[in-house]
Formats: sequence, C-alpha cells, structure tokens
Amino acid sequence: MKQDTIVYHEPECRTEVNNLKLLRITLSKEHTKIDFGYQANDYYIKGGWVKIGAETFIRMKGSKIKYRLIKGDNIPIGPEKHHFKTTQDWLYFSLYFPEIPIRHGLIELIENEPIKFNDFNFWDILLDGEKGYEVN
Amino acid sequence: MSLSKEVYIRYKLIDIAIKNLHAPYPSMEDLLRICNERLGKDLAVCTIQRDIKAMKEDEELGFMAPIKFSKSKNGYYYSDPGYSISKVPLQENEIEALISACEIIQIVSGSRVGDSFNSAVKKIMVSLMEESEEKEVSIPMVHIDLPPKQLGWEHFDFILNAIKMQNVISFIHYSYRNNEFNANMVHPYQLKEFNNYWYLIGLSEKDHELKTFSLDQIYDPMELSIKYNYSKMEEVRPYNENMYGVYPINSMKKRILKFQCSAFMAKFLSAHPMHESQKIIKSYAEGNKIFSVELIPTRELEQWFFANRADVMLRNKDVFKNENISMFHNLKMY
Repeated sequence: MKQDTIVYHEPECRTEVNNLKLLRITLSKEHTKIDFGYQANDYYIKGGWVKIGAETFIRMKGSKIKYRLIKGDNIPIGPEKHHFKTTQDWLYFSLYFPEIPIRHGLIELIENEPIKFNDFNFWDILLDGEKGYEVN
Repeated sequence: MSLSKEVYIRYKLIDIAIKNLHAPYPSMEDLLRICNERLGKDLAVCTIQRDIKAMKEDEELGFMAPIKFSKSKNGYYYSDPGYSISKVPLQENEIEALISACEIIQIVSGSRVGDSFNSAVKKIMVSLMEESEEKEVSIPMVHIDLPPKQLGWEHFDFILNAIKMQNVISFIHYSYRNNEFNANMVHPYQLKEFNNYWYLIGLSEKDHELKTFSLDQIYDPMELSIKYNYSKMEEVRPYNENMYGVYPINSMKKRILKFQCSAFMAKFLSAHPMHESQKIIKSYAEGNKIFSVELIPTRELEQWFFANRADVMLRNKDVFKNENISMFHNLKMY
C-alpha cells in the first residue's frame, strides 16, 4: 500500500485477558500505536490496578525481531500502577512501538516472556490490508 | 475593570486620537495624556508603545493598523487615511444590542467556541468599548448558569471541523450503559446540545444508521481519508424537530403521547412547553390537565416521565419499558 498512515479497527486477535479490548492499531512512519480499553471488574474489591511492563514488545508472527515499547499514553509503565477506585472504572490507553514494515499480516503483542497469566498478551492480531483505512 | 478591557479602551483612544482631524499627528506625550486622563491612570510610555506595536503587528488581535510615525510632525498617523479599528458607525440602540449580544456570546462561548471566535468577539468589543465604557456594573447584566466543562469538550472543534470539511472520523467510544469500548467510524453530521450536554450525531459505518455519541464518551478522534457519505443527513432533521433528547428508542416513528399532570405540573408545562407539538387535551376543575405531545420516544423522554412520576402519568403504556413511569402517587385518577 502507498498510504503513509493506516488505521485498523478492532482487529481479530486472541487473548486471555477478558476485560482488556484491543481497539485500534495505527501504523505510521513514526510509530505503531495500539489503543486499548480496559474495564475494571469485581475480581478485586475496588477494581484492582493496571500497568504495562517495560519489556512489552510487538513482533510479526514467526519473526524473532522485537519492536519494543517506546511509551505508554494514559497507562503507567511498571512497576508504577494505575489503581482503580471502583469495579465500574475504565481506562482508555495507548501503547507506542517503532514502525513495523508490514501493512498486512499477523503480529503479536507480548508484555513479557515467559508468558504469565494476566499479562497483556495478544496473539494472531490480524492486520487485514482490506480493512485498513488511510488517516488524513 | 479588567485589564483586558482597559487595554481595549486604550486601543480605541489611540485610534480616535490618530484620526482626530482637529489635532492630527498626536505625539507619544499626547497619546499618554489622553489615555491617562480618560482612564484616570498614570501609564508609562512603554505601555502606549506596546499598544501601538500590538495594534500594528498582533495577528491574533488582527487590527494590523497602518500606524506610522512622522519625524517632521513628531506624531503618529495612519498611512491609510481611511483606516480605523472601528469603521462601522452604529446607532446607540444598535450598540446596546451588540453589547448585550456580545456579553451573551462571551458567556455562552467562553469555553465552547474556539479561540478565533473569541478573538472576533474581542474585536467587536474593542470597537464598542468607547460607547460602553461608562456603563460599568459590578455584576454582569445577564447570567447564564453553565455546568462545569464536559469531558470530551476538547474534541468539539475537531469534530465541528470534520463536519464542515465532510471528513469521516475514527474514534473510540466508551458506553456507560454497557461498560464497553468500541472503535467507531462515523460520517459526522451534527453537534447537538441537549440539557447542557453535547452530542455527535452521525452515520455509523458499521451499523449503516444514525448514531448518537456523547462527547464525554469519545476518545482520540482522527480523520480518515475515505469517502464521506451524506446519504442519511436528512434523517438528522427529526432529531432537531421531533425529539426531546438525543437517543431515540426503537424506531424513528413519531407517537402521540398523552399524559395526565398535577395542577402544579400543568402550570409549569403551560409556561414551559415540552415541545411545540404540546396541546392541552382536557382540563379539570382542580387544575389537573391532560396534555399530548407528538414526539419520537427517546431515552431522555422516558427519564423525564420517570423523574416526574409523582406529578405526571403517561397514558400510553406501550411506549417505554420502565413500568414505574405509570406509577401515579399523588394524583386523583380519572
């Protein structure tokens, strides 16, 4: 594709985290931005907490090249945490990674390896070129 | 007097002095004296110098006044003799009306409209200040209660521009009702206010129908380069004309809703009709009344009936799911 910046809405993916939704991926020459929505739940009395591990990375499926987290927007990088006050709280946040060289294919987002329960991990995230929209 | 107001008066005084045919080419000392006399201040030369510079160069202020200094006359003049910061002569009543309008616009637009609009308002105020300066009051003549800024307010200008330029937008929406996030692609049609909250009405690309999004539930909007679809734009009209609220329930069909009111509520509704279609169907000796309105049922209308259930009873039982709306505590049944 010739476009500079492409956005994908709610790409198909696999994850074990029920209350975290991968909402949008924006691919540009500057970075890869991934938007998430987190809904606190009653597993913890006051909704618990969230953070993102500093080691978080994305990679293309089958590749060993890791594109490491540059920054988080509206979410603290561990060990700092964002503590919810109620089970009804929510958090919209974005993670920034370096530019990836594809516009179509499968990628993974891994918070840490080895994989741990409740980490923010997403596999088989489908960047479907047919469903990517050019950003103005 | 606020500092900004005083500044505007100085601009006006400088403008008048430079244009004064009886005493052309006012010197810096002349301008200083005029301003000090008029404002009862002891201003410094640098203040007037700064004012002249702003009138000449400040792009936000926008006067770009062609002020020059004549060495031979030792005074200031306009290189364009026809220039003035207030070129439009106004009648007294017109000035009064504009001042009132500006005050209301400033109150209402204080946080609502972009900086460019505020700048325009300021310019109008500058040109009117000479006539209005002596009408200082300690409290505003008009006061409108405004709620604290709505979350998502920062998207107002962006969305307004997208509507204007007919650009499709992508944004994240969080539903308070469902505790759920969604990524949306919307062809934006209108920003609508209801009860001090702002909403975006637009065509949802996913659902192929009009949707309403409260600005406070919108995150991170961005413009997309896809073809704008205005095919359902006309469907916004009923939102403006036939709704009390912004979230229609089930269908867009208008219904005639009949409801019985206590004497108190009947007085209130007579003075403040809910909608232009409101009619009195029947009046009872005790003051109770039956009204009708022809509206598209909305969530907000349902909430209104529920909130006022002690004084209002809806006679159409099938419109809303909330059975409590039909509870009728204080009224005699007819």
